Amino acid sequence: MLARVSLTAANRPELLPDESLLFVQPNVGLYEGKNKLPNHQNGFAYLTTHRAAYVDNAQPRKYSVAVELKDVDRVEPYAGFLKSSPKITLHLKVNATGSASSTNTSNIPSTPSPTPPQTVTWICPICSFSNPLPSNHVPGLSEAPSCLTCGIKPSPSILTAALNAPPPPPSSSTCPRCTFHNHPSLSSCEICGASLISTAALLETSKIPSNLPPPQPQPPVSQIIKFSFRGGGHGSFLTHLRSALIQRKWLLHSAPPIPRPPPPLPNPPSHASAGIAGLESTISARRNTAIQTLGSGAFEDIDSLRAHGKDLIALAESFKARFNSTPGDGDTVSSSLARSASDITQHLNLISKDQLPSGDEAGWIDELSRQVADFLLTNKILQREGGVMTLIDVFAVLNRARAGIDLISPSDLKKAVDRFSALKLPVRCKKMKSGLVVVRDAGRTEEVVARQVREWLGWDMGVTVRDAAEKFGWSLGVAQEELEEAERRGWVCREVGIEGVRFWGNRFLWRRGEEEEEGAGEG
Amino acid sequence: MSATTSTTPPNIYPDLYNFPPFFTRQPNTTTFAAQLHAWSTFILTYCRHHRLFTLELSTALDSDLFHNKALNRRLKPADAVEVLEAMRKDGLVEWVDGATRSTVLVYWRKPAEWAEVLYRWVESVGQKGSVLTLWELVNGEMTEGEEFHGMHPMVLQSVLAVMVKRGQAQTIGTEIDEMGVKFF
Repeated sequence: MLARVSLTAANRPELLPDESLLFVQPNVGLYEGKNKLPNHQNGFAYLTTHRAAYVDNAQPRKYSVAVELKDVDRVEPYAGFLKSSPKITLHLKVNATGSASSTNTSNIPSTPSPTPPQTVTWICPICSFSNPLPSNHVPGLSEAPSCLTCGIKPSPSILTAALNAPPPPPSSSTCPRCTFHNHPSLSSCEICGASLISTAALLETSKIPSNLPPPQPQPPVSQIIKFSFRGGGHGSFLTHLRSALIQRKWLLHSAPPIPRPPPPLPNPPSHASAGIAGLESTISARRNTAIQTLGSGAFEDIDSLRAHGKDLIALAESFKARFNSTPGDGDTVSSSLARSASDITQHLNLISKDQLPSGDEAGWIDELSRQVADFLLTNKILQREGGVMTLIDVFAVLNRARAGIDLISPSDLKKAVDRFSALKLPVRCKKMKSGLVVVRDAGRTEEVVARQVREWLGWDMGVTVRDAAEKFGWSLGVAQEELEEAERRGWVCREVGIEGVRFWGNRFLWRRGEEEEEGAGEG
Repeated sequence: MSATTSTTPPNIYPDLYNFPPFFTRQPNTTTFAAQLHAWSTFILTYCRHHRLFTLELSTALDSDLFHNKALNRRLKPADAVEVLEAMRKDGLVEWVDGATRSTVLVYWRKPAEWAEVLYRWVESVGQKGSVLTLWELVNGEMTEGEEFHGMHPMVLQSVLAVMVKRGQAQTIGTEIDEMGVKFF
């Protein structure tokens, strides 16, 4: 029921084709049933149109799970009381879970649901209430549960004693807890409710009907998942969750497309398949489909616009491809800016400040930081720019992609890029000696870049900043900085001539022999 | 430069002489140290080859030394002064006029080495005990072809000072033009 989530490079959940992000809430813990899930206690809750996901802060790759909203039966909020944080409980549909578990965890045999779990109980020393020990409790590792009645935590010795207590006597009619003699056909004690089915009996019953392997002692799949909002924000999360449950966006995926008028009969191909006439007819046919897409009610009302959205995007893409087919010097930031306008059509997974609880500045910045990293990597923007971009270019491309709505302020962006390394994202922000701030791949350290530059320069070639910018796809400012950085490291040296500054391989510090040894020499 | 290179063995020009950045002062400290070393070696080789005991900056800046005419690259005067100043710290050159810094004495041999060269010559020609004028010593017919022939008087004086200290010579007279020397 809790499915693993695949994450993007920046540790955000990867969204399905029609899925979109609704809300993000930091500082959330996860419960399964009544008990805390170990290792799922501090992370981000992502609410999308299809899923409610938890992404752990410490080890996002290992401990990230999601609940499909289509499996959710009902939602129950809990406002919190004294030290208990507000929670949102998701009750899952039983039959939906069965189907989900058969698809998701097909190799694990589903436990027969009517048999209650074999529980170990411990007696609270304060109020002498006999509490069930959680089935996922591991002595010494997981936190001891507190008494259900008085809330006092037991000492570890009591728990160990309870675990090591002798198994209940085989006669199933006598309650192992209160020693009441029950009727043999009862499965739980009439007086105290303890399970009367011993482990041995359970094994026997499971062996009788089929040859299935005996049920594993694994915890039964719980039907209740709780999100605990330690940092608040459950109100907005609940609002978004409820509206997502009402909208049921996940149904759209399987919905049939809106019917469209049948295409006009194609021209008989016999007389239009060759020569200029053939070309012309192909072009006119293509134009007709374009007109249909635009004209067939796409702009008539908002619903059909949405339905036709994909066709429109495909049309725009085809135009773009035609424009781009003429080769140009397409590696400048301005052309990248132009391209980023089309990037909006791609799936951007953009986040806005409304999707986070108001007043949570740090959470917003962290999320923005992840999004910027995702944006630069998934759309290959950073790669197109030679792996390095100035912060100003990032700002321009990012806000262009947001198409003028809900823009990111420069100070927010600066704070976001400063969080890159703290969040262990695969991009880094670096302040150059001149004060220019650049964003680059985490793998592209100065060392790597300087080596690339040096290998390119070889033994006797002098290059200007412009040459380097063209070669590596950098902007001029970045190229200048990278060359000067390489110079500071002694990889290159400069020549100031009438034509300006040229950079050369540093022949002062290497000998020709070394250069050839490394196989990088050209001269 | 083409005329010069055809008459002189090319080996006095290092590889770096044809490397344009050689004529630009390098901002990187490590690189600059290597550059200074390369320049200092080149200047000494050049002066030894051309038997130059002094280097006048204004003429040197237009000579092959600081001006690669083939590459059309030259060392800037300020950079040349910086190179020479670094060489002075190593005891390889000496400003004739400390304040204006227009000319340097170039010690492509250190005074102590010169003293040995001179003494070996004195021994080989049997001039021990005889008195020679300084002019005679460096410009006279009998030293023609010797390494120290044409030595700058100021260089000679510091060489003789070393020899006097070692007890190998004694100078006679005070005026530089009329000074004589006696070798023991």
